[in-house]
Amino acid sequence: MILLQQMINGLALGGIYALIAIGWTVVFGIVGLINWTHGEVFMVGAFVGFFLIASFKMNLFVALGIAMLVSGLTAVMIDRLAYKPLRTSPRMAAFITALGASTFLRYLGALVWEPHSRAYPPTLDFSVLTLTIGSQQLTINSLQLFIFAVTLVIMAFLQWFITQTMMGKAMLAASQDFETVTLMGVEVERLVILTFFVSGLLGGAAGVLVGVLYAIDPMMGAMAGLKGWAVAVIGGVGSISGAMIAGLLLGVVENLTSGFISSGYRDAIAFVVMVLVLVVKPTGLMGFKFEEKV
Amino acid sequence: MEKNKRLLALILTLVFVVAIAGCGGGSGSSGDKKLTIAMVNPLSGDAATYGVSHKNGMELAREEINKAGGIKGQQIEILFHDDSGDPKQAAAGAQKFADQKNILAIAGSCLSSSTLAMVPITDKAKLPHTVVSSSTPKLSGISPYFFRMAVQDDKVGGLMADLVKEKINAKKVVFLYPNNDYGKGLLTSLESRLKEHGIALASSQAYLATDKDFSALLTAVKAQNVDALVVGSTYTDGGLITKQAREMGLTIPIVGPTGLFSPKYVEIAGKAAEGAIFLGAFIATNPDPAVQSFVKKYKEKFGMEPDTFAALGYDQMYVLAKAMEEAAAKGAVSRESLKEAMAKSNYKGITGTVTFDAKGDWVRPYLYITVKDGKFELYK
Repeated sequence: MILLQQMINGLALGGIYALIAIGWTVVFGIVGLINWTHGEVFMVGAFVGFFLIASFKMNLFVALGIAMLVSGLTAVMIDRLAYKPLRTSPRMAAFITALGASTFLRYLGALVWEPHSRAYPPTLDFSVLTLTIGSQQLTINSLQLFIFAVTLVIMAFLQWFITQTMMGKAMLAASQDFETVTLMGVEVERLVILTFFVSGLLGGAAGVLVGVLYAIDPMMGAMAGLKGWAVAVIGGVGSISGAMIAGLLLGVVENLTSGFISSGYRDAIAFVVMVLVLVVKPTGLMGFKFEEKV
Repeated sequence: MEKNKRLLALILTLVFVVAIAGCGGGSGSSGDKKLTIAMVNPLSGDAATYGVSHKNGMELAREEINKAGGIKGQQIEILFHDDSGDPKQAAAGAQKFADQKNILAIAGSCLSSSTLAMVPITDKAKLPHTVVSSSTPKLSGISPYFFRMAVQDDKVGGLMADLVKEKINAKKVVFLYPNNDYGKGLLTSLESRLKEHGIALASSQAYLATDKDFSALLTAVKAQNVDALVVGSTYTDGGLITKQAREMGLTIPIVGPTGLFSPKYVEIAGKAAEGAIFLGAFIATNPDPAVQSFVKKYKEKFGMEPDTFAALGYDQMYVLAKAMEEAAAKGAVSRESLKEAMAKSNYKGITGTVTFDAKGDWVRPYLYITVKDGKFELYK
């Protein structure tokens, strides 16, 4: 029963990991860049949400929406200022720029918002559901359930956007074969902006949800960014459904690890799982590889 | 003009000192009009709030003592050195004051790292050195001249065990602690004192100080059916544990160390902080008349409510003054005689009765503090 309880505990966090990972994976799939600033976009979303709720007493959903927009625009700004000038340079240049921009934003955050933890004011009333099965008890917190539901809704919406709308289809096509898409007359830069915007939206949403559940600080993007990348790799880079499944898997595995082994290993387990998956299936769980035609 | 005046004053003072020393048959400072002590503290920078409070508390007490006639007619004077939280500057300050032979004692710094840098210097200069925080176990017994008006970290675990026994009457508890020196030190002392009280420690679990999600640990706690949850946390991790425990429907009392006694704890835990019990040295809402009179005087002088550092600084000045009186009764106050008197301190102040053990640490019970309607108050 404790096993089941620990798995339920991991769901909300797993949903959040999935959101971060999808933000990584869309950018990598389309632009081919390992976007290290994604963790910082996530942090910006968390702080914007915090100030909207704490200072303006804003409704959680409105704040979530605005924080997502701001994060989306932040991601686009980062692309315009840091990556665009390097679009034709070797990939290593953009990669190193991404690392630098990430460090810059993290410490800028620490300067502006002070490097200590803050918690969101109470946003939602929660209730604790206790299920009794036999002599065992199972507690489910409505807040966690709610956060899990929000992540599912966002992911479902994304899936719809990618498969059903023209813009989404263009993104999907670009992730499969960027050059052919450009040959078909799709304007590349607009597609890149759209990609960063979507990535930022997801990162911002994840930031606000983490704030509601836990606490936020300017350094929060560092580990979240790394884990998001691990999840993206586990799921198969470029695969959105893979990121969803891997995110949930990691959330649950982390909770099982800290519940049954030691919480000291919780951060390490993401990377252990990543290595194991890569050994068994180098393309990730849901990864696919197109055969290159000569 | 101003400079000339100062120079003149200096020359006159020198002449006086020489003259008096000559008259007194070489018995040194007995004729000095002033007893001088010094303080090294962060008065600017991130840690300035501690240093400034400590300074304000001491200044308030010093004025009172001087107004009441000083020590056998001698007024007390304090010199300040701002170390801005940097151990290098703290050491420089300690050296500066150690070299001034008329300085009888040194107070500060508030930060353990700075104090650790200062003690070798004050020890070598045989200069009594006293602090109100710097609770690292490394400073225990470090120098016969070092007096700490704080309980060292390792002892706090035992005090939490006392709290569990006296106020909750628990039979079985569980302990969650950060996996660092501080947390491990607490575990050792908590474990042995719980055993003395006949309370079972069902389990103890370490976590990373940077952890944000404690639901896995708390699920395990819930399954153990204990009477209280003891944490060895500071405000961030303690606040998150408290919040998540209540969100999971865990209703047992939560007990913590001095680290939870911070407005940030209430900010992070929110409503969940209500009813948590932890340790503290001073609380401004303590109904004790001596405390209330101090709070009133402090507010009048500085326009804000005193915190723990201010209250301890106030008591520290009185502890020093009492020791000076003791020393003065036997002749001229020197560094050596002041140290002897400090070691025998037994002064009942607003933060408790100050005594030092053989290692120079304060042996004391703490106040039990709880949160009610988002505010701190004494736990009854």
